[in-house]
Amino acid sequence: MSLFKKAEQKRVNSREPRKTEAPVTQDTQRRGAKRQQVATLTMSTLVSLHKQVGKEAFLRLMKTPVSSLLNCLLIAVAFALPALLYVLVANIQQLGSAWDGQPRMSVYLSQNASQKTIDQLVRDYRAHSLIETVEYISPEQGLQDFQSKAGLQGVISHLGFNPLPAVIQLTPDKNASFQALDEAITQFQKMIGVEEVRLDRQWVQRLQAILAMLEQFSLMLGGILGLTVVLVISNTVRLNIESRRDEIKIVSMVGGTRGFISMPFIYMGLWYGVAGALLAQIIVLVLIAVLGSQMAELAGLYSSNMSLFGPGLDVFGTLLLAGILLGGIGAMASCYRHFQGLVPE
Amino acid sequence: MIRFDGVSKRYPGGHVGLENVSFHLKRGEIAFLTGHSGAGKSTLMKLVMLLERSSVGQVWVGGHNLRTLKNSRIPYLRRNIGVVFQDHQLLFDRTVFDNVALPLLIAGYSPEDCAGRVRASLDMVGLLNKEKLYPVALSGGEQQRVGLARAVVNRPSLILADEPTGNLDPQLSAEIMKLFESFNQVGVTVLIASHDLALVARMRHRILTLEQGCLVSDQEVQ
Ligand SMILES: Nc1ncnc2c1ncn2[C@@H]1O[C@H](COP(=O)(O)OP(=O)(O)OP(=O)(O)O)[C@@H](O)[C@H]1O
Ligand SMILES: [Mg+2]
Repeated sequence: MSLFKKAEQKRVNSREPRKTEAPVTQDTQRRGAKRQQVATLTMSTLVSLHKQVGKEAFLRLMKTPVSSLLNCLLIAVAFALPALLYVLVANIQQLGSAWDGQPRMSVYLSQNASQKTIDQLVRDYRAHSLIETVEYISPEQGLQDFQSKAGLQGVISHLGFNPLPAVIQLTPDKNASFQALDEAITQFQKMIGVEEVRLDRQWVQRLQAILAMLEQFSLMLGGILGLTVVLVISNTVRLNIESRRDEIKIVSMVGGTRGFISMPFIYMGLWYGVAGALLAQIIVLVLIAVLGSQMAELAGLYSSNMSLFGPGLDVFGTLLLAGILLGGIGAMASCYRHFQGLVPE
Repeated sequence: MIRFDGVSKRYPGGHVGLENVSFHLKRGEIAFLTGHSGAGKSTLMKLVMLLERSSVGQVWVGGHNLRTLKNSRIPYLRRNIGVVFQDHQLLFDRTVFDNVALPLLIAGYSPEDCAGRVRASLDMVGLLNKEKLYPVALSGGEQQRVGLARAVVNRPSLILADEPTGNLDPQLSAEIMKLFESFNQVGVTVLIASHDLALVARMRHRILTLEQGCLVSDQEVQ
């Protein structure tokens, strides 16, 4: 097969006079036909074709920089809103426990826990990275504390035995996140000698409910605005299809399949999606930075060191994926609806 | 290669394109299609490459009945037909080179692989030195020859040429006709529509004559 190419190159290079150059021989004709079938299947051919079409689509967008940028901005805003909300919620979740002062954790020990088990538990909690202080309260001490409170002296002595369990009081690190505390609680719950673990956290649960709702809301918002992105991109692609009707017709007349003709338009949608995602990430980064510096000023008054973290790779990855997906879908929908006259009725 | 069997084509609005046309162009044959303006020459060619469908009758191309050919197969049919359009149909935002390379890209050649074939094709029509120009910078005849180069670049087994010499001077016309003949000599089936009766007569090939959509004469080679 490569023989055919070489022979052709040689012919071109030697620049023989036009008359003597036979256009095709029967032999090369047949080889050409065979080669054609092979060529359609080659991976590298496909890759270089995609590279070229992708580049052309990009250059086409650069030809009308202002309108392209405006479109990207529209897409970016639609992406940035839910992303910003998501990042803010994540920030609050991280900061949450710091606002409470000191949440306390009570570990109730089972009746039959031996002193050895208890010592082991105390040692374990001291070694735990999330726990700041550990205080063991024996049932006797608990009884004393209880009875020292006015009006309650008689209550337990009537029982004739001490019903109070041994308790270990823990103070977690105040910067610990909710997730980390939750994990610690489930971990503690499983330890030998532990009956129950409780975190004083009614408000925490309320806040968490609100945050969960906000998170849901940011997802819903993302869904709605994602639909907007699809519409914006498909409309932009439609306009592009309208302005390139002649080209579409010509490519179709010389044997271009629907897929081949769609390619530049789909790449256009992809570029819009990617550029929109990139711009959205930048917008969120800037907004968070501005908000963060204002918060730091505010927090400075309370001599605390609160600060916001920006959108991470996870957010950027999600945006990029959404951009590619929605851009592709928008463009394909437009191609599907607006290619006419490729085949006769 | 091409077989028409009682084919009629009526355009919307009642215009008659073709009326009960039957003929058979065998594989490897070359023929001219003549007739007045509006006789239906372009219509006939459009039916062959499925730009239009016949209203009545059957059209066979390369053994396929076009009535039963699936829409998704149409591009592959068209790839095997090299067409020189009456109105050139060039892409005006692409260079001459890129215009000619188009059928190769569509057929799955990588852009790098195209170069040799494209240049060979342009050389054939004498436009190798204009490959970097845009079609607007070319004369009508040159545009027509770009269309011709594009039609033959992918070595089609059937060539349809609609007025391929309409804008060419007599000498260039004769050269282009020789080019078609040389393709025919290596087994390509060729159908050429032309007004130029004198030129057609000189070539001594089969002549199909249309008149108001009807095939009025089918002169075999003298
Ligand atoms: N798209 C169309 N819609 C309606 N009528 C059409 C259409 N295309 C062609 N016709 C009619 O069909 C008839 C044949 O047209 P066609 O283009 O085939 O002629 P032709 O032989 O190629 O003429 P010319 O030599 O001028 O190119 C004409 O009467 C024309 O008006
Ligand atoms: Mg015509």
